[in-house]
Amino acid sequence: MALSLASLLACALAAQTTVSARGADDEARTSLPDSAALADPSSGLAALPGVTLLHDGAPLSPTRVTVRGASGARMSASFAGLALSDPLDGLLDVEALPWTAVQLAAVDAGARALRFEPDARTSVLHARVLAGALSTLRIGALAATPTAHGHALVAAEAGTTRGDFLFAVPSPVAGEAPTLLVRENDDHRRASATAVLREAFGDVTVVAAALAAHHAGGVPGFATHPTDALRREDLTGMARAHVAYTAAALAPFVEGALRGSQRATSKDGAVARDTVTARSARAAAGLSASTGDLHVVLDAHAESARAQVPGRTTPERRVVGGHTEGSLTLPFGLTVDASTDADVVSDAGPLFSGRLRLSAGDTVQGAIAFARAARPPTLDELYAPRGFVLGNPALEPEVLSDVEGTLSVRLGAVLRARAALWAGRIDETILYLNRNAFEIAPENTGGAWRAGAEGALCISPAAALTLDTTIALLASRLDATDAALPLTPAFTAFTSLRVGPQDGGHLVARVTSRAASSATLFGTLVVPGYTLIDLIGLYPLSPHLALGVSVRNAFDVLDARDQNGLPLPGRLLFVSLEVTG
Amino acid sequence: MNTQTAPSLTALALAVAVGALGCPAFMPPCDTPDACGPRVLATGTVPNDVQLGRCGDAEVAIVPASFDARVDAIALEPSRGGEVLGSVFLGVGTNPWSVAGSADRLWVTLWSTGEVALINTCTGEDAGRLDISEVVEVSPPVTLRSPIDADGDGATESEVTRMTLRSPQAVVARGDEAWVGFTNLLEASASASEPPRLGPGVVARLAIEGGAPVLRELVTVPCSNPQGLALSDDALWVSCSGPIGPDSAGRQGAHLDGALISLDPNTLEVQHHIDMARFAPATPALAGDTIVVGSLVTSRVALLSVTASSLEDAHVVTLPGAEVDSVFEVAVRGTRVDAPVFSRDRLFSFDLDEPPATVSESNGRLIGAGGDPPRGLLALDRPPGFSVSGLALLTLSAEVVVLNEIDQP
Repeated sequence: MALSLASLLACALAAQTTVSARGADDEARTSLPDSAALADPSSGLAALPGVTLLHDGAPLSPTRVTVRGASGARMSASFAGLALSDPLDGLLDVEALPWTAVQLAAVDAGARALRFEPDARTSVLHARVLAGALSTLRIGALAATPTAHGHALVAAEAGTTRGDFLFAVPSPVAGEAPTLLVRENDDHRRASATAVLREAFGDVTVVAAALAAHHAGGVPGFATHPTDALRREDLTGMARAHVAYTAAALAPFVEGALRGSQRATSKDGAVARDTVTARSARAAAGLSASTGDLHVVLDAHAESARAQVPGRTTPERRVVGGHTEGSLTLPFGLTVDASTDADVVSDAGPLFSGRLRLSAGDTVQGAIAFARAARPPTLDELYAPRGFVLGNPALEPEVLSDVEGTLSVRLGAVLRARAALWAGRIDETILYLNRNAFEIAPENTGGAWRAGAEGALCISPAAALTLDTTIALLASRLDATDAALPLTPAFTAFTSLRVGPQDGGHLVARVTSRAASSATLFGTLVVPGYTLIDLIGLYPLSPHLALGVSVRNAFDVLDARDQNGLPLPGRLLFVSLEVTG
Repeated sequence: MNTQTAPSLTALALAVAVGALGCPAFMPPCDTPDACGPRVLATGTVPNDVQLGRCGDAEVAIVPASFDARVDAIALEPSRGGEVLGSVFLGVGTNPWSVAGSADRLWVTLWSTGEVALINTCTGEDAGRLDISEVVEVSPPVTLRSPIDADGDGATESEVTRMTLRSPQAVVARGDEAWVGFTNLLEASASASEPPRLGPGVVARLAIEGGAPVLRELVTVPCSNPQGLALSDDALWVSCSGPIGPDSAGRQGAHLDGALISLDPNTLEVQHHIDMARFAPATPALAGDTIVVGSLVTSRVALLSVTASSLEDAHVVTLPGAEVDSVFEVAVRGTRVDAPVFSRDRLFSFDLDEPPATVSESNGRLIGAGGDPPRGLLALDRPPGFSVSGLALLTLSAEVVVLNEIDQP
């Protein structure tokens, strides 16, 4: 395999992509073997405790992430330092990532930041072609190389699928056979490209990254209430540069980032008439210092975001603020990490966020973390009236506060275990409510709480056998309705068993389960849970060529639906070829 | 952790215990409709109407679940725990809207496909569809923002002068006949400057022939957006709200004057016309010579004589409600009027013989769990002859509440 991380991770021996469950314990990680051999490599994110994915349809369809019941603007996401979430509504479509280049995914303490990282430290040329069910074709290529004082990476990916698949609608009458239907208007085309550079020029270090992504496809709508011929096209581009002078004790740095996106919908082949553009720019300057066991970063930043909807409101937001972070190693192996953010947002006022983490231990490590994050309402929530969905300029910021304790054990490459207990409070919870029978608008609905327990266990008694499993329990309650948060299953689990050496021929069986969840604010309209099994096999044909075969949903469960109520495809077979140079 | 957590967990634990063990000892057994308080039944996704009916000896709630494209017959008997006795899947994207008739011979309007279905909800039989592909004149022509093929000739047009019937909504039935109102929505409202575009209101009389539905009569009514129908022995009353959309201030309201129109049930000839101004009348109910009708955009109910000529002749009862609120459907039993207010989740009652000008909040009976946000009290059915006194539909929470006289305020 091309991008082995064996030296990094006990249970990710040579895994193509690695997922890190970073809670209060920054080192706890879980491997994600071989998701690249599937048409939707993002599916492997389910290996993170508490993470669930919400698909719109077939592979390559828009896919959202929830972490511990939070999604959208309640969490941030980045790839190589690039802010991925849309400045208009905070949404993240993880299928837009160039997965050939993604090496690491991590969830921060408090589960509000999802971080994707490339790894370009190995010199490699890598290409993959995948084809199979639903006329799906996905092609990716990656070139990565160490440079004189850093590394560089470029990657590109493209894919297409016809998408339409068979699914079953169970009858509400006990004992009656389900109705089989075809999910239509579910074709998708995607393309993405990224470049990442880290280089030192004497005492000046430059880190730069860029990402462009395009998606076009059908918007199939609800399962039995489809949106025929409704199409959507998304185009996103972003770039970031970070320049630091490292010779001084107080190392100054400057940083700039730009982002632009365009979202267009059309129906019946008509010229797109609902086009939304959004762009943002960010500039920051600061100092970092490291002395002995103390590391400190200070920065001041300014940001501007603007969205444009033809013929309607043109919202704009400006942010100025400061960020501090530091870590200090104390006697007895105790480490303290802390960060603070203070921002003044033009349409939301002053906001304060912070995090404090205490950890100790090595083979057995314990940690406790406290986090508070205030998020302004998104531009979409504040201003974007469109049809029956309205904005609400009177919204107050939403505040999330969490406490988390973790205990992890690591025994070389043989065993890694991690347990976490956490609880969190959301104040001024922003939810979309019916304002009347004709309009929906976001409102501050008061408080909500979430609490959960997570466990992760990875056992690798031999190079040819690895068991990796995570389980998450989550309880939540909205004060306003006394019901659980919608789209939030009380139980999720992911188990992966690999037989055979990662670098040789091997088989992987993985099981994804989730319990039932509610689709409304009132705890009603329950979407049943499911258990799905995937099988993945990889066989090296030569030192530079590997054949992959994968079966998604091997037992052809036709009535599985994500929490959003949208159906998932039945059994899908894919074949892939990987060339590594 | 908030202070409501402990009571919430206590309530949850009690609910689990009740669910597992039946009623606690201090409650009566769950074998009577009134035991354990009002009963709430779960429905499918986006329920849009509710009707009491019977499947054999079993009383059922008949509920069209629009987004699930099916109509269910849900058992009311407490011991059956909301079991679905029969269900008809009407096809992807049919969007069943309203129902009328009996459970075993039920008329269903299919909003998105423009059809009317005749089904047996008890056995799951789909007896037939009526695709009324008649073309009607649109005068004056309607200009659309995005062209559509309104007349079904294969070509799209921005200026609509003819159209095939679409978006059937209201339905009433008697014997082997049914009457259906077509709202003929051409384009939904996109913003305050873009109100909805509608074709003319159309009413059709249907009948059953050889077990399948057939068209008998069709008429274009002189008003827009027929939202509801009510049938008496000698008149079919059509309630037209006019197009509903935001005004320049963003407030939802009627863009044209509405009307209550009576038709001859057989010939569909217009008999009488009542100008309802911008009241936006919803589904009417008849009590002798009095028409009782709520407003789609305010929490008001109008009481009019069948001989009235305009809203000015009406007695208007103002109910508690939000600035924009709806009383979609009223029920009249004897001289008592029950009016559900959408955003209050409350049923407000008053006497038809002594109607008040206003009704206070305390006079309302909470339907369902209540609270804020509201669960969206949409529909009400209170026919005589059943062991329960009626059903109420909470559309946002997808629940049917079984009403019992013991619960009356």
